[in-house]
Amino acid sequence: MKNFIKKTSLFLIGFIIIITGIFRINNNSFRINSIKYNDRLFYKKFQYFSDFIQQNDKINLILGSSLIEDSLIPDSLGRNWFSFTSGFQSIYESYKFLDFYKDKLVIDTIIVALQPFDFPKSHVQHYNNDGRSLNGNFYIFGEDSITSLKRERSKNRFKKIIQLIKDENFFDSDHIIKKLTYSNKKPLEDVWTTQGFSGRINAVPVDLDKLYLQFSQGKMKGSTFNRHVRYFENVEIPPNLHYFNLFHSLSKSINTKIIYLLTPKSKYYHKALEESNYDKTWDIILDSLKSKNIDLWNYENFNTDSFEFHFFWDETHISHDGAKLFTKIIKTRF
Amino acid sequence: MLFNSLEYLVFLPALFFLYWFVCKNYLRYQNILVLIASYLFYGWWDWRFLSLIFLSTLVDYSIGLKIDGSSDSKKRKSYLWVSIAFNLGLLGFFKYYNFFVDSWIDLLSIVGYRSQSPWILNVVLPVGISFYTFQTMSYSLDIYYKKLKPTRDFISFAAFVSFFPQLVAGPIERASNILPQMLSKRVFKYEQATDGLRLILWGMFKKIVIADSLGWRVDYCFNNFELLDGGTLLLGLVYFSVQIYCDFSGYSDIAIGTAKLFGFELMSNFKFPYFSRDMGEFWRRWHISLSSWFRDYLYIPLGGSKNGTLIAMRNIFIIFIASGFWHGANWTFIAWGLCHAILYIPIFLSGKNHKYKTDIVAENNWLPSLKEIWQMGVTFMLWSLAFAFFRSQTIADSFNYLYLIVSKFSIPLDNRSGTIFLIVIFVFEWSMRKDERKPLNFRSGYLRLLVNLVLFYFIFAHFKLIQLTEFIYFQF
Repeated sequence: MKNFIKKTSLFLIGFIIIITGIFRINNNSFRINSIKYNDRLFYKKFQYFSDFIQQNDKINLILGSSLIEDSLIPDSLGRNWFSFTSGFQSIYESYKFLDFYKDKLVIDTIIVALQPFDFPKSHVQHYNNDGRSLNGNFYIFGEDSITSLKRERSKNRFKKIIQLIKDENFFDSDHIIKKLTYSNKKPLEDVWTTQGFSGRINAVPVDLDKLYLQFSQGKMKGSTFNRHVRYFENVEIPPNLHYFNLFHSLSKSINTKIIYLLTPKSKYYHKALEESNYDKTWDIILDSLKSKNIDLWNYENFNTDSFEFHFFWDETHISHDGAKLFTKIIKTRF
Repeated sequence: MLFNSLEYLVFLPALFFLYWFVCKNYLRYQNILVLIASYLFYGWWDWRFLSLIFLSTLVDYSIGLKIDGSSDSKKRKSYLWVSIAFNLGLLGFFKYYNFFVDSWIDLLSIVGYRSQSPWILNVVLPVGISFYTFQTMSYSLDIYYKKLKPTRDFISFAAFVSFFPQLVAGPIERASNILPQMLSKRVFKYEQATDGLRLILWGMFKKIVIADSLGWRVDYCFNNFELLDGGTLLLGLVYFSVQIYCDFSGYSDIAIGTAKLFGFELMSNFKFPYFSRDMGEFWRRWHISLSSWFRDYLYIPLGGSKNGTLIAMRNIFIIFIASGFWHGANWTFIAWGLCHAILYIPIFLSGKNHKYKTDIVAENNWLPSLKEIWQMGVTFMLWSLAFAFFRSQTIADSFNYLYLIVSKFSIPLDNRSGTIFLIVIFVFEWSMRKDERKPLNFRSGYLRLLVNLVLFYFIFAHFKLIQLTEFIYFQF
């Protein structure tokens, strides 16, 4: 028994020394940057933005969730556009971001996406489990009861951080294969631009019609056609415009031109809203916004049937080809 | 709890310590500890379903004693039927209920009657139910056939039924193998423990590195099969063959290795099936615990091959279809079983199904002969093609998939990077093919250390702390 434990321990200690060495070489330090590893993609975007504002005196911004993140390619709009967009980034988080930079930057125009989860009854209360629709990383622009919500509640935060450290420092076989086979080519999912286009886009073309057929027959799991459920969680009538008003007032106070954008949605999203009666809730929210006399560019009912299947990768997110086309449309409108 | 989870990496050493240091000289305490650990292991997934395991344990424990205590053959038979009805009832309700209702509705719709059945239930399939129900049934069957004496030690019996290493995905153990080990004092053996650790290492590598890396490549082929060329589709089937083998045999290796750490020897479940020279040999090397279960408790009681060719052929069809149906409540699995019956019948009729019974391919050579390569290649390809039925969503999709392989055949244009995993697995397995219970046991100590470190590194790099991938056979 002693021999078994001794040899096993020596093997594990040896292995720990090796991986610590690899980490030291890759990371240039033994220290772990916790912000970096909390969300690698968000950190990457933050780093790019820090560099971007060093190089540009006057900037334009795209803000909002992955809906707009996937829809607009900032590089195609112009050199001074940056997309500070991220998964489930709510308008309250965009407000925190803007509030943080309001005295540090000159912002000419902001395109900000509006989505149902910008109008929840409350970000703090009435949620099932951790269903709240927030990105969760915006505490770096100021901690408060909302921005720190997900940070505190995330049960798997520790595991997530270790996973990210591992992914960045220790190469798995797919990473090695990718390095070998794409030595001169950039794989589509890695198309990051320094203007914040994350390119979190499926490399594989998705046949949405076929997927929907499988989904409607109960043969497909996942969130591809269920996004709307989470978007409308805790959204009630009359709509809560408090978070929107915070953002709107702040942007007016810094004399920035604001365009509110509703990105194109697939016909399956509209169908799902009709079936679940969420369309009525959304119509009431839009009516409330229109009464505020804002610049609202609504492409939700854009003729999405003319978009071929590969222009969406789920019921609400636009694919790379779709983004190229939609960015052209927006640029032309400017 | 999954073997490939962080929780298990904490659970295993903690249990090892308690088992060998705290309960060292007390067999009863060790068995109680194994029982508690097994219930904790299973309850980690969903504690509510522990009641099913407990009920199954209680029923077969009592029935075993009743059968043994009765000399009246009619009574013995009735007790046996209670056990079979209870276990198959559990399995039937949780696994097959909705399938039968759906099939009934489909049948009615063929004759023009359309209805939405109120009988469809939202039933959760308890993990491992197909495995432990078969295991407990075999206990009652063995007592009925007088191959085994029942135990009066309920704790040991409950520990046998729920023994955590093999509880959720096998090997489907026999009481005749495990119960005597439960009832006798276990002694720590260095060689057994190191073999156990190597099996765990190799099993983890097969699951985490090979199977999971091939998983998304297989999904890509099956989700987009109408858009892909025939070569890529064929490659998708080959990937799936290797994925499912590495996933399932990886689980078995971890289970056998874990059991060894606690002084138990489980039966082998895989003996390098992809080095089989015909389908007869293949089925003696693939999922051995299930194949031998069907052989002993279905094929032989039905008469086996002793009552003429026609009866034997009927029996072969029955066990292959039952085996397919065991895998899941879908017509695709039945078609897969049928397909294998059709592949097996010719070799059975030619009387060559026992040709390669004990020897190992190229046993005394480094490399196989051309004839052996051809035989292994054909067997592997037949096996892989049949997986079109196993992996597709519907039988129509399976035929479409196979049709597209032929009609759009070319060299694979896409998804080729996964071949590196095929090379790795075949090279390793070939070097170890003489003993499935002693993997990575190279003569040179330095080579052993180097290989162990490299495999450990890749397991570490591939290991997922979030979004864990379950073992494929959990769903069966």
